[in-house]
Amino acid sequence: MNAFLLRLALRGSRGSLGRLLGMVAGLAVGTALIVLLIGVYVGIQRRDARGSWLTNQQGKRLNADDKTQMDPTTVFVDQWREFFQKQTITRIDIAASPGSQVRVPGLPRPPRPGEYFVSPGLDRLIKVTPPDQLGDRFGKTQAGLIDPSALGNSSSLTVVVGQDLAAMRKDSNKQLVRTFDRSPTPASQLYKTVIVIGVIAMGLPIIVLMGIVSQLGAAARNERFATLRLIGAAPRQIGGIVGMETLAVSALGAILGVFLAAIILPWAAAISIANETFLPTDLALSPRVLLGIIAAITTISTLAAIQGVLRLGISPLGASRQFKERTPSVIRLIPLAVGLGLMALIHGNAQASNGPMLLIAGFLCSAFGVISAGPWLTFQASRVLARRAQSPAGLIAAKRILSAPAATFRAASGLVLAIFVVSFFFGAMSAIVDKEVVYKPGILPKDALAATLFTWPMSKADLQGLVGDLRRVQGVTDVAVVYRFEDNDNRIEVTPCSNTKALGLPPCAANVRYTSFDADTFVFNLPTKLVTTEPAEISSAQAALMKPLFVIALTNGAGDTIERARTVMEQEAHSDMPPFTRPELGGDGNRALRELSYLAYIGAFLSIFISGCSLAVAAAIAMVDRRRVFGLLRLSGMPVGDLRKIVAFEAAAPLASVTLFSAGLGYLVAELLVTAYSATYHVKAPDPAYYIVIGIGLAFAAAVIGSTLQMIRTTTGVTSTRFE
Amino acid sequence: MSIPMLQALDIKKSFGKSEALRGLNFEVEKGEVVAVMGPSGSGKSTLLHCLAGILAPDSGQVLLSGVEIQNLNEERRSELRRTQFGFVFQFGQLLPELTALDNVSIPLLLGKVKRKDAEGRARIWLERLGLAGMEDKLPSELSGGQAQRVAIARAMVTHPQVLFADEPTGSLDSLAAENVMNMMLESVRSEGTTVIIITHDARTAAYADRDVIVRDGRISGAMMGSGK
Repeated sequence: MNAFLLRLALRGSRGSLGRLLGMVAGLAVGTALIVLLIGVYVGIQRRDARGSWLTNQQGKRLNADDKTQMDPTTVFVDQWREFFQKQTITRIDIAASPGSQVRVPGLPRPPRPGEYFVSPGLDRLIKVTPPDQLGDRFGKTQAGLIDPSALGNSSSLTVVVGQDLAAMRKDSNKQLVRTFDRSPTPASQLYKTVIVIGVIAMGLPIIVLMGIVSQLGAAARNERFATLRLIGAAPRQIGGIVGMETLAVSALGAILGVFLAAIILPWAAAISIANETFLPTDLALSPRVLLGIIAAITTISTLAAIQGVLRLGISPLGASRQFKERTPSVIRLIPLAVGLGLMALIHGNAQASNGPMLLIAGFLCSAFGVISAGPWLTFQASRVLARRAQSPAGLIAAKRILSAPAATFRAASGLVLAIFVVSFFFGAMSAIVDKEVVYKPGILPKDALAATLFTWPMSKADLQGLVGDLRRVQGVTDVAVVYRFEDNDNRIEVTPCSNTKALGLPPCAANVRYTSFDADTFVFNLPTKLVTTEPAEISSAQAALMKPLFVIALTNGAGDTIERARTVMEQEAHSDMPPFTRPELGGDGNRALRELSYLAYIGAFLSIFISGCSLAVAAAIAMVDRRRVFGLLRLSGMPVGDLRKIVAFEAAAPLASVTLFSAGLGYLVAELLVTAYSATYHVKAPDPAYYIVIGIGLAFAAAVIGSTLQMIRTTTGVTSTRFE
Repeated sequence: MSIPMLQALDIKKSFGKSEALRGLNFEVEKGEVVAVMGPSGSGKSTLLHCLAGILAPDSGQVLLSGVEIQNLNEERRSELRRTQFGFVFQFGQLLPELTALDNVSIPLLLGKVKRKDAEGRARIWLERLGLAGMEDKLPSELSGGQAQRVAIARAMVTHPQVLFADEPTGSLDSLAAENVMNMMLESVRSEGTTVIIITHDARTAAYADRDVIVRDGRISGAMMGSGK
């Protein structure tokens, strides 16, 4: 690099302080986000290393009647999820032999029967809650706190309960465990994959932004660069000058981004991913990794900048921005057509052996297809617009886009991808997640609390005691029991007709004593369809052989009533599954989807915003490029407002057209995905939150573009038209 | 006695400490073609900007058909330039993405004329300036002379009262310059348009009815041109 040339070129940057500061700010924000995303990726591993033993035991699963003997090197373990006031409590039941040598993470020793250890978060909750609503569920004695080193987060709600060995033998869900495993959970792997996609989705708009900002710098210094070319500088040297400038600016931006990430880190750690928040230290990256990120961002930004300037083709007579772009051909639609075709092909057959693989291939092909098809669609849209434009702004903007559809689309490509992915996600989710369930006969009432009894059978006396105790809980309005009757020929689930009201089943006909129905579907399945009932003829002798399957308490819906009833059920029913209400049962899946949706919202918002910045810079280039001709138009009487309209139109047209296009396509791909699994599934209108996030993102982008338009008055002043 | 089409009375204009116009007086009659000549830095362009309402003089008056224009607000002055004035510059005045037809239509579209009507009127002007068949060409596909004639068509399509031409042949060879000047004068004379040409070039000035020489911000001389 010739030092003289560099000095001469950078002198021109004095007037471009705003542009350089913008580059630094954009890179700082982008780097901070990438650092945080990588921090979350690493943080999940660290958090898992502490807390995955709670949910991911790798022991030998044993049946209820298993006779396996326990020695001091093994324990029986059962893991389940408790509910309390819409919160989830992770519960581990452990039965250990006296003198057990098994080390339970975070505990000084395994709990004895009747004892329990709790996380600091749950300890605080127990202390402020009446015992009959929470504390009594776990045992008589709180033996201590679980060390935070064995918890994902000290505020998480976790309990380790000591169980009686003989009682635990009856548990059909137990495992024989020697050591507690700390490998990542499958759920974490899903989130890590999502985060990798997020880093790529966030990186693309940032790289595009850097390339475009560098083009702005070159456009603003067009004459200076042309002079350098005139006196003998090669295009490569001009690229080198811009590269050196971007290198310095992007290194500064990346370093500031790392500091910015450190400031945001405590807030980022408070975001729940895979049902848990992080410790701030989980997200902290090592200096070596941070240096690597800074180096990578600086290198990629510099290369993008050099490529952006070389693309301009600066000649000794100035930048040849009128270079002819090749007209995008219809071939660009092929990846999209292949992607959509693949997904449509699987209609209703996603469960086939190669179904999931074809679906993934179809989705990736469609996502790539969106980017590939973009320039062609932009070209076609601007052609129609140019033909129909009635205003000068519309005509000039459409013709400008028509002359460079690929460059126009490039500025908006990050936004297209973000909106496509987020629309796909919400489209698919709208078909899966329960929205407003209408509770009516044939669906378990939402305030009914159910406990399973089939894995840990109860005696008749114990059952009567449980029903009596539940009836005594203030706010419990009815209690019903569902039985299973089995003989050689058949197996049916029945309940006395007196229970139908409590269960939310259709009433029996007169003189019918029992009604039969598919109880498993009724209790466990999401209420997508009503359960039908049939009269059942059960003799007194058969009735004596029936085994209790579920006990269900109908409540007034008050939180304290449900928790009291739940405590009674847990104390007396010894189920291997916690008592639950219907909304709680669907809650975990919905919660995970909600968390993913929050991440998608944040990602979409930031991508849209960064892409908005790219469009704003592209608008600034459009102004700087044509400052002379705009200046002359202004002299000729074109109001500044009309000039602004031209530039605004050029920025808004791709923004508006690609937003609709990518949102529509995202929903179409989601529809193809859900119909691949079941022809009865269909995407529904998205949540209001979807529109709000997209709307706010677009509003921010529009505001950034709007602020750029203020440049038009200064760039088209009288001096811009002088030729002397 | 008729009212001059455009009149500058004792106008002064400074940029910082530099005085561009120092009490300049100037007038042009309806349909008259005047060439304003002078060395670089003499104040020619500043005079054009003041006469066209682009710059407001520090003192003095600018009158269009006897009506003061220097105190109008920016919006009114823009409207004036759009409806009463036309402009032709040395180069770089056509929008590169627009065809010749689109470039000429733009001033009409600004005046809310429907696209189809605007294109019809633009075609007539392109034909008058010898550019029939060039409607769909982009500026990059036109020669310098052709581009300049498109610019003249664009300036004339709104039937302006006054046409300002700032070095209209400055970037053309002599043959093309002659062609452009002939076409321009033929057009303006048939329309009765007043023309003010800013130029260094004596050959271009020779097309004018009258030449005015500006030196150090004042009119230093005038002579009859050969155009008369």
